[in-house]
Amino acid sequence: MSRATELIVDIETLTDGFLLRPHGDVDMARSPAFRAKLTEALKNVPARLVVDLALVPYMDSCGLATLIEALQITRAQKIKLIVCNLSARVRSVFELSRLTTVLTVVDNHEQALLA
Amino acid sequence: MKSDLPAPHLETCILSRPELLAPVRAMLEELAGRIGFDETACGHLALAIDEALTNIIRHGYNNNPDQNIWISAWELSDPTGLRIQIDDLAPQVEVSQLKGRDLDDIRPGGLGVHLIHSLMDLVQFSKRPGGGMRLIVEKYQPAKITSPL
Repeated sequence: MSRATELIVDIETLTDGFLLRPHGDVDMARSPAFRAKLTEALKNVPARLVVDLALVPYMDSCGLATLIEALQITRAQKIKLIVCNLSARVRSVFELSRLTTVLTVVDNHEQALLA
Repeated sequence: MKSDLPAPHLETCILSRPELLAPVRAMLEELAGRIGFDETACGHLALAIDEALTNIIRHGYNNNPDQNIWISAWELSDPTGLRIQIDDLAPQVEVSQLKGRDLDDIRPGGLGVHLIHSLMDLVQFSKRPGGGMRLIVEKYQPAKITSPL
């Protein structure tokens, strides 16, 4: 069942960092792959890391925990972490967990590059 | 996993493997949709069950992938809704320990139980008499308002 645990993540180079765009549900099965991609991008200590969730229809608390881990690293290293393009379903999980109060969440890609 | 209730409308047993969460979510969303829940409620129900299963796999079975988890579902008529029971054979814990964390304490983990309580109308953890833990959750449909003609 390896495909159930794999997560395709597009990585785009920005002028001041990286944009990560995961494809598919991020749950307990796939959050380790998500964490690995985020860790890899953060190793380069970019000024900005954008996580574009346009292609993530579903995220559970494991996905949220992965983002909180990334937030802790980015805060320590003065990296801007911006999350954008949340679907209504994913946004509701962020709101229920009050993550919108600690993460920089914007509507779209363009805003993420300016945040 | 028998209980005092009539036979469930749906009953399945899965192994404690994270890759099985997506098919369970799909199955329960489909069931909830056919009962009449709207898309948002179907999603909330699937998320709550996903969180419960994740907790069992991670904390109950300590990521052992070959343990059993039983899922049973009943359509409710008064109030209309869905009741889901999840049974495991994990070591028993005190129900008082099964609390979500304070949301102001921003750290990875501990969100699952909070989400279950936020998304469901009834949440009941208990120790199973035969060993293991049981979670019963219920979600109700909003009362239909009919206007007299």
